[in-house]
Amino acid sequence: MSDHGNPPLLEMNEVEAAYGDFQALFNITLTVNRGEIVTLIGANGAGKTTTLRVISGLLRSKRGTVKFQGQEISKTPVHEIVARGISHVPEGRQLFPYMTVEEHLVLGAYVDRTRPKIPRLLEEQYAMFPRLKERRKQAAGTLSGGEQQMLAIARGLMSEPKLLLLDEPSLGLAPKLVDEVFQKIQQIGEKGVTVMVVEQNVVDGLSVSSRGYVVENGAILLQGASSDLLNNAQVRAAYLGL
Amino acid sequence: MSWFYPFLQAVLDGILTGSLYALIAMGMALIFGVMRIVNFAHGAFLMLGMYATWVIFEYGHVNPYFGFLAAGALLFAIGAAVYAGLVRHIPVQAEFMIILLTLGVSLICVDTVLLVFGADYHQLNFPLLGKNFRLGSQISLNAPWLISFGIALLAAAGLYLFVMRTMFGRAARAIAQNPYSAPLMGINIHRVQAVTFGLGAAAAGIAGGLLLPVFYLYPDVGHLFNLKSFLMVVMGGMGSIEGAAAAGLVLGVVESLTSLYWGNEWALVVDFVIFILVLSFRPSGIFGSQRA
Repeated sequence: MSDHGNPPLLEMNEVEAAYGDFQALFNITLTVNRGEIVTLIGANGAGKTTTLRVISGLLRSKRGTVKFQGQEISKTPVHEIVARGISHVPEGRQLFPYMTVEEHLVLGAYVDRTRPKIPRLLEEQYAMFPRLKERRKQAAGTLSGGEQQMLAIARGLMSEPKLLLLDEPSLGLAPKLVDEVFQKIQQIGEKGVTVMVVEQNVVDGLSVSSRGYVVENGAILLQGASSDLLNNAQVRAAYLGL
Repeated sequence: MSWFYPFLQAVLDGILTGSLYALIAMGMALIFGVMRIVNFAHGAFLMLGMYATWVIFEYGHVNPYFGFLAAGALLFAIGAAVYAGLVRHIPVQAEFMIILLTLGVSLICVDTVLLVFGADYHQLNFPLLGKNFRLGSQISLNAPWLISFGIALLAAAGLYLFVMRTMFGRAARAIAQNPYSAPLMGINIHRVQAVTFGLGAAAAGIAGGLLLPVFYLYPDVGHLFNLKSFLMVVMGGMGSIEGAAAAGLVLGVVESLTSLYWGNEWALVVDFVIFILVLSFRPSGIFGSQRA
């Protein structure tokens, strides 16, 4: 049961959300357990990004509940959600173009909980992303696409999240860099961080995760173990063209 | 060489004036850079800083070179309150509404001061005002201008370091560069913006306090500085505080030289000719690209 013992890390129950008059989510019900990597797949416009935006508080849900560690967060301001341990790495990286790599990482640790630990957290990110250490004095706008994505992820890790939300981390990257990004996601999972990743790259997304959800028209269409979803006839037909 | 000393004198005078311009413009640039708001109440904030310093001089006998601190604190509070009470409730996209709002705040400030203190001109009167600092036989610098210059320089440097080196400054620059992702860092946007608005207003308030000993005081005195600081913000590259500071110094020197060669009445004309030229040929500013 969710309200005693050890609740799932994240629970969304019958969540609806809209941009003005346009309803984007009709019924999102999902759970993320501690320590797992969960993938959200679906077509463009299915509601994957909107789901992440509702979790991190960038968009307010109209109906339904969002619980993090058993506590309702659907009315909590974005910055408090970050402080509680959810870090959202948005689609398109959304860096600060004139700030250096190191300034990004320092800002990533803005919340009170992580500020005193900045030197250690910086070392951790530089160990995981050595390219960023080489470029630490460089402005983010001058980095390559792959480096920018690594920076966005590293910045997201600086707040020591319990739940890391990654929105299309492979978007616009060359195949070799896509592999690298997914390797990093796996490493992050192995360190004990729970990860929820939104992907259009269905094969890579599902092969890095233990479970997955298929989103269509703002609702969960299918769910299950990633290996089952990869073999699911519907998924293969709709997303893999098989 | 008979032209040289008057020229040098005018340049030095211009730098002294320019340091106050720089501080005023930095305040406006900070607000613009972080929030994309042109604060048309900026001149009124400067005027309030002058009146605050004047009141505590007249009634509390506090030297304006301490009184300006109180003016800065008062304007910080007013700026933060204007943000929290008014500006934050207007949607970001409604630029025209923000212009009307800040103009409205400006009118309220000016008319309140007019009601309370009347329309009379005032000037400070204390012994330091007539003193001059001589450099050789040809150059002399007015003592209160020199002190105001020194304090303005310190305040400007302090503001710059605060924005560039502290966590708060990083947060403000993050909002300036990407308001969408700044909250995802855990930044409380409204709190940072309220403090930013307060700091911008405080810069105007401090500049007002420093201007008081060397200028005259009347309720609409801010009007002139409003236009000038907008000009400096545009010249400096919309939102760049160091660019605005540089523009302030340049404008001070240009005005001073214009007064020397063509007469005081031409100074404002030259200002706005420069403004039109900048807008026509370098709309992103002379001193830098667009950034905070």
